[in-house]
Amino acid sequence: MSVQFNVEKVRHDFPILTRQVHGKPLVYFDNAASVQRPLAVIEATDDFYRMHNANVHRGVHLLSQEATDLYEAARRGLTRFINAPSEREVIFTRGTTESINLVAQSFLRPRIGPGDEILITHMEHHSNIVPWQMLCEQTGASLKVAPINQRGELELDALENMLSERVKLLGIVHVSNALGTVNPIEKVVQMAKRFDIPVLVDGAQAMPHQQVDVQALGCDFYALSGHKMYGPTGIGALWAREQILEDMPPWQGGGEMITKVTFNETIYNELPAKFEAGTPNIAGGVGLGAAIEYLTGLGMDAISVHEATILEAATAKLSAVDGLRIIGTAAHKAGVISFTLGDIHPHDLGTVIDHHGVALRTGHHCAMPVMQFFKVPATARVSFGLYNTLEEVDILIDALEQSREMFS
Amino acid sequence: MNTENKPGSIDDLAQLYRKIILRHSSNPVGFQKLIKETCRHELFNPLCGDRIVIMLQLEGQIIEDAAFDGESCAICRASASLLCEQVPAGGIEEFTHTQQWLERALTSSEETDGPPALQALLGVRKYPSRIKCVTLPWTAAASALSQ
Repeated sequence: MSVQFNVEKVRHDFPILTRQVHGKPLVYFDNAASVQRPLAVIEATDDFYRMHNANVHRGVHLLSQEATDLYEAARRGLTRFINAPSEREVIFTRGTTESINLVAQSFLRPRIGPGDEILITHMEHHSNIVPWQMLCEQTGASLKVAPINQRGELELDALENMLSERVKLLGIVHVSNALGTVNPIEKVVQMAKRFDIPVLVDGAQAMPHQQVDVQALGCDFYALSGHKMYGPTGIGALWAREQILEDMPPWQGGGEMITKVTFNETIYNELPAKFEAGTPNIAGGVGLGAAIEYLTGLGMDAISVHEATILEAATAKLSAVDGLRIIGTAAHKAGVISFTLGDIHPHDLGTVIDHHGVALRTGHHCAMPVMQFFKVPATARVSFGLYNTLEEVDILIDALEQSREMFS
Repeated sequence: MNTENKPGSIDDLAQLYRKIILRHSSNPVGFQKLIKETCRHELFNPLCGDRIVIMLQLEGQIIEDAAFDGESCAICRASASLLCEQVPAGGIEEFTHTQQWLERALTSSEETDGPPALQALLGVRKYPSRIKCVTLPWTAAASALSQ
């Protein structure tokens, strides 16, 4: 059953979209950096602080119970949303970056040494590069990088040839934040499983654009961020198989993650609390729960169809702009178009476009190796959310034409 | 938060990209110019990935010539170009004085004195995220001199 998606109605759910920027209506095309929040999320966090605020898992008083219920309801919601088998497998973190660092330090560090390899791809965000580089420095392992082609697609044959018993983890982005490429995760996981290589997927950019099913993907770790999927900043999650999490030592020590503490020994708490030391971002979790309810209400499939329409139209219109070069032309893309315009530096373009009310990102998008591959210092990037419209694409094109005249 | 009177009127934009800035950006002074360099320094702007290299020819306390290289935005290029145009034949002390003035002038509208030729760079005042684009070449030159 297809769900009717009414973008004009949806836009009313986002208070910030009524804002003017430099006297022009806001056109928000920086969704890959952080999306805007619907009223449901804003109200859920507001309501939490007004009515239910207390610490979780600690008090016998009513507010503490309510706070715990709301926080754990969010975990249940996320568990269902990504089709995880159990709530015990969903660890709340600050976001994708923290999730990846957790896997690097708790899962991989005890299992890796000199001669071992960590395999990533050339299109990774810095958050899926640097934690592994740090681990390599700590352990003497080496970092290997699977290549991409000129369209910004993963070279699957090359990746397959790089797999071996030496590879102790494969880290791969689901949707590239710099190029928009959607990677064939199921296929890559199948390849990796021939060598029993655990696969970590950076799902930050995939979550807002498509229904993610961690069991169908077949990966071992899935990292995500709340603020990319219409939830608050400072909250995210790591999903991992229960057996893997059971075998991993805690990452950070403190309150919440213990069952019993004496000066001689500490008995760690059960999953998922074992990995959630300290007071968590409770309101953030509640907000993320509200975001998931909101997305479920709209239907991820309907959102995907709407965004694909915007992406297709924007790709066609941008391609027709004189001197515009799209960086990343993969056959399967989601939500992102990176580009350069003639000799105009993206930074200058971003400032001028901003005067038209259009927010886009300029720079290296925390993916400097991607920029090096395409031999550009930076790109301009438009990235789409569920509230963007075809009319907004026209405003962008008009702004680009005017910018080009200004710098000609 | 007060969202009125924010930077970014069309006048502000015109101040930022004055003709002189665009001229220096498209026909920069000292870009990839071969000089008898005695010191150089490379700097990156982590925000945007821009790279600038400043090369100086120092004779005693006098900066005889200056050149630059790298990939950067129009503002940064114009700033480097103005540096290469204005600095040569001056002393190190004079350079340091100018650099410090520029740093102050970019963040305070009360700083009005300073070299007339560099006033064009002050259009960036209303764009805090772009101030580093102006300062990068000057910081690189200062680092080159301190080696």
